[in-house]
Amino acid sequence: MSKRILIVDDSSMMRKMLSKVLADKGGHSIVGEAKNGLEALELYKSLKPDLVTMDITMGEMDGLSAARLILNYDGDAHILFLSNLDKEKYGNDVASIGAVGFVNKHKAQDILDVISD
Amino acid sequence: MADRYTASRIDSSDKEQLIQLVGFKIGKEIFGVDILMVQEIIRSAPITYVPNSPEFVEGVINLRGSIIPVIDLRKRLNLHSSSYAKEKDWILILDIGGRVTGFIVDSVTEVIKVQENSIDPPPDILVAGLHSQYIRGVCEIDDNLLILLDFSRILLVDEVKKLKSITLNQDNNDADE
Amino acid sequence: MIDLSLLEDFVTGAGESLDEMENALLELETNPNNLELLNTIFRAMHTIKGAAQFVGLDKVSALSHVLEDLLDLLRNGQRQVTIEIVDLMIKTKDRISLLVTDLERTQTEQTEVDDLIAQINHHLTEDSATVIAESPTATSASQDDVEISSFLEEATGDEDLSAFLTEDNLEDDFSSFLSESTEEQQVSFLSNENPEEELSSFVTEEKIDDDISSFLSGDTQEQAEDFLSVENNDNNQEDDLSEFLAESSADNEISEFLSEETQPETAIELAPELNEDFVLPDEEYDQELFGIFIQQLKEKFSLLNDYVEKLPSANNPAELLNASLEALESLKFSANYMAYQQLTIIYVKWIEEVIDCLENLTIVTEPMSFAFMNDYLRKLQSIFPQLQEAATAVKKPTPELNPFVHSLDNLVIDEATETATLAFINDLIQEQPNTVAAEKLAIVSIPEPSGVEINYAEDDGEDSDLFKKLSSALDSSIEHSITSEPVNELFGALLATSKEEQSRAKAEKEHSLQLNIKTLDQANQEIPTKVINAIKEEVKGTSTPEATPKPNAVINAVDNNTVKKAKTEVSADKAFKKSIRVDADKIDSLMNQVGELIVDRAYFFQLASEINELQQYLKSVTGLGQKDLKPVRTFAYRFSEAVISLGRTSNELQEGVMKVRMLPIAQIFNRYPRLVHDLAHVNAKKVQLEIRGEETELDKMIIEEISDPLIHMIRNAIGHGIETPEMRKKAGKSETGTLILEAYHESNHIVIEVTDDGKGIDTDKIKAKAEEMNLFSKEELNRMTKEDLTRFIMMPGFSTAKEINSTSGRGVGMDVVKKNIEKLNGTIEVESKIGIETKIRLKIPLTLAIIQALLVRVGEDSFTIPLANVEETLRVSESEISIMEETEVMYLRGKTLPIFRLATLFRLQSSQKSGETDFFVVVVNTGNQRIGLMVDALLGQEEVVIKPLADYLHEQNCFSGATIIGDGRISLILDVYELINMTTDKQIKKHHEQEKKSLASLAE
Repeated sequence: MSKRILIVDDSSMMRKMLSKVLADKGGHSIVGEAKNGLEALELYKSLKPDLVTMDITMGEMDGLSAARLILNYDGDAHILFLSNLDKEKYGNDVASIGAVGFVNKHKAQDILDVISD
Repeated sequence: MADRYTASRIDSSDKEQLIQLVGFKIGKEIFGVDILMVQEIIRSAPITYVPNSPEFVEGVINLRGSIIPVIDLRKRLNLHSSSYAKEKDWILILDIGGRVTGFIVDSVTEVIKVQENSIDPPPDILVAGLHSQYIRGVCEIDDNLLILLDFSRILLVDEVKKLKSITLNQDNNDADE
Repeated sequence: MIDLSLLEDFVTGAGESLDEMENALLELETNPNNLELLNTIFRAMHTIKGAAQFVGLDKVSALSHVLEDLLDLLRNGQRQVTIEIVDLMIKTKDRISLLVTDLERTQTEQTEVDDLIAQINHHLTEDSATVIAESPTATSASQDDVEISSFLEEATGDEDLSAFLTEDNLEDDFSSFLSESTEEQQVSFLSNENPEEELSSFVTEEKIDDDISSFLSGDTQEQAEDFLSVENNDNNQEDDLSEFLAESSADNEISEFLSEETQPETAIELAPELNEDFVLPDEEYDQELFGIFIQQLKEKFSLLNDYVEKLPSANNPAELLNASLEALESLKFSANYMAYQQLTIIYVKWIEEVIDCLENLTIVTEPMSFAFMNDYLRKLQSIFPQLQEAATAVKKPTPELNPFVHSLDNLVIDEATETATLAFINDLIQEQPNTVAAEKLAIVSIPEPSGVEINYAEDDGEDSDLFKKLSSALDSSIEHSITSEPVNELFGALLATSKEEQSRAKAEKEHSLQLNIKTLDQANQEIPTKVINAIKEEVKGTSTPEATPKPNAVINAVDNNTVKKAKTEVSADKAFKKSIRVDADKIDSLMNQVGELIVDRAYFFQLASEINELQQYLKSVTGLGQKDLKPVRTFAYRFSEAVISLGRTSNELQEGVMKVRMLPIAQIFNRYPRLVHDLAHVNAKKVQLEIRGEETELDKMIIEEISDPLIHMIRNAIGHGIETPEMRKKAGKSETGTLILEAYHESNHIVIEVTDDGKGIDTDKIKAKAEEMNLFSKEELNRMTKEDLTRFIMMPGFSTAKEINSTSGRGVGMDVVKKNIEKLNGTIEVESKIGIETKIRLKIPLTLAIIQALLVRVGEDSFTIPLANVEETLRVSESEISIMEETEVMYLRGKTLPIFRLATLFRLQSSQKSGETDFFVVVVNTGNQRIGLMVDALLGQEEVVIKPLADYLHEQNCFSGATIIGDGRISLILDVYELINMTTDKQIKKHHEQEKKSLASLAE
């Protein structure tokens, strides 16, 4: 099912590639892109996406803080963490703030699978 | 059964190798160019002469806002000039690797379909007084020889430049003497 | 597998990151201690690595991965930036660029990377000889610890280790893995994989492991002592808090902090004594960033505080230590980001110790001391006094929220009664109707917490954790008010705080923690008061939300310039956000369309005048009366109105599209640092490049066209202008030459100057050469000015000549430069002071696509002359023209002006009748040379759109392009530079022939 997705990543390259994968292969619609946590929060409020893909390490505000704020704002928000960093390291954090899941950044198919679930 | 199978197989392979050409004439010779290269065919348009350009460059035309050089193919290929005065030229507008260029020809024939494998490589000897380097291949059509021109070679810049520098040098020599 | 659909994006994106990285690398070479540069490089590398992994590029990710590791060492100060390392990094960057090119062309990674990976690994595992001197015991350990920490970023559990190892592109991390893993793991590792040469490094690694443990055991005692003293501190904390709160503003400390000078040297010395004075660099950071930094610091600090408290009694201290490690990593990152070097180093050291401790946990069985954690916490607290509050607040949560909520109520009432405040709030509400209004309402409707009952059945660590978050949120709300965040945000924070506070309070009761109510009350009162004050100040001070409130020490500490800068940066950032990437072809085609529109507009103008003529015609021929002609007249009038309006709109459109095509010249300037770096190396010279005005904008097409000429000029400046260090020393100059690239606007032109402080151009040598080449007679040369002589370097004959002499050979390819620039309707000037400098100035019109031009007619054809080249037009009678050296000339204000008939030059039939004695002459110039062009008629000035000609019509020709005029016909645009060249060539030739003839006649 097609979802409205907000992409959060500090690298424009990653944003572009993610949106391509999610839109072209996953058939989702990308409603917005944010390059840090603060932007993500602002965009979340105005766009109300079905799902947020969240990078962890970003300037301004990192993904974990942003996710916390978004969930604080909307308890039903669906946030999917995408990161190079290890799941073990952030998995607990991610779980504790109630995000949907954690997927390794370099596995495009995994990302799609998780989203469509 | 087996025969049919073979036949159909030949058919399909033939289809794959069929190419479509736009045929055109300069004097008595029939030439062909791959239809995919032909952008359009126009009747003669007002040509603006470009001073000091190579002799075979007839000038430039305004094709819906684009300025396109027009080459007199007869002059470019050093073919014999026709004895009779042409009524009206045809200009083949070709896209040669992104370089849109017009070529003046005497007339344009219908689209010709030929099998790729019926095209022979250019003979070493001169065909119709033409250097084989400009020929992609030849094939026979209704007892006539159709010459497939290699337009990218015709438009090879280095060659064009060389030609031009020759004419320029000649000019200079003229001036010197 | 490579995901081809993403490759294009990767190629573009990676290109940008690589450019950024290269610039930073080149700067790093001269500025090796700049942490910000390292961070930039690291970020670029990190981006590339992530994207490469995403796309599935094994080689790029492998290479970027090891470089990232190396950069981590550099960033942490564990390895010093050396020329060697910078070179290696540049090499790696180049290699990645090559791979990107491979990918662009063949969609595969063809270039090999193993050699570079090996080289980088060599640096990664290198003996500690180059490691920065620290306390002797720590030296050997530190290097490996960094690897451990970087490794830990990758993986924390055994499962991950194995997963990590199965990734084939990460083989190169064996060494860092070895240094990290426990002996047991190493054994299993050795049995699993083929260790190859890593075996040897493994052996040395193992020794270092011993060092670590001895280092640790040595320190433990000391740490234990520290711990005791820290415990005493803990008892004093209540006092600390009240003291802290009693202070007029804690922010004074921050400002003191910020205003203190940095000493870079201390950043390198990693003194183990934690009580040493610590100073944050007085960096220019906007307060927003600082606010975020402090907020994050507080959050993590409370977390750490919590962990440290639990540590001594914890069943599984490793878990807590790992958690602390994570908090520390993130702190390190932010400190690094803020370029607080010393702070970063403290974190690094701290992380090291935590890792040591973690290691020992698996080896040592007896209880360990975690005192060092407390040490660090206190140290951090001493640096940031705000943290004290955070720490205390953590311990003393508030069960009684009444005073706090009460103050909040007061706050709302205050606002309602105070008109100024009200107005301000209204402003805010109007600005942000949803958030502010809602929050305001929410604040008013906060229920009294005491009346709510919540059951907390579970008593686990989570609650206290939540409480910590509350307190940090509380702190951040203070921070917000202090740093003049817009009031609505403050409300939001307060709202969040008070809500949390309620649940917090209940949780606290359940936990039955010991609380100092008195302190708490004080804290609670203090907070709202501060908030209210801040708001009041804001209202009094100014009516805009961004205004800086007076009591804000943080902001005061930052000077006004910084604030301004920060703001412009923000706006620039916003502008950037809105920008989109458009295919250049699309813009070109849009520009073409606009060009067509301009042509159409010209056509409409023509029609309008024709209608007027028609009107006249009808009047005279048909003899219709005024009344009958009225509809025609009205139509003609309305038509011309419409044409004028069309003209206006198309003008605006044209300008708009032209602006879209404008790009900052930084696009090409940014390529040159590398060029200069390489050229200086090759020529064994020391060159410092200064770039000025890189934000100057000009047409994208021009940018492309001037890149090569500029490269030529830079090459000349470094190759021939700037002297070798020895020569410069002898001449009393500094060994390093300076090359300045500068761009600026001058009316409708952009000026680009390339200036070097080298030896200058020796006109005597030029004179000698010119004489030798028989270009001019000695007398002629002697009459020439220095400027005239200097101009010779741009003559084709001169540049192709071998060299003026072995040491000076200025002018290589300068004719090409000149030609290219003049093709752009630009001019080139050379100024030189011998022994001091050479300045080459290019002056180019801002856009190429549309020019003002003069249309002339020769025979049947019309030609277009760029107005930039037209000096004047003359009407000349035949008697004014005389013949000199077989050339027609005329005297114009005392100077001879050669005249050329365009009809003759172009071999056209002139429409000039033989009997006519009047001619039109257009005087054209290129910088310094000028000639007269004789034409049949002047058709007038027009704005024309330049359309390119096929290259074989363009080169060696006198036309720079063509344009379509109002009636749809084509008019060729004269390339005045080429034209003048052509005519002067002829002149020189004639001159030579004459000389030959006279010589011959003399010989006879």
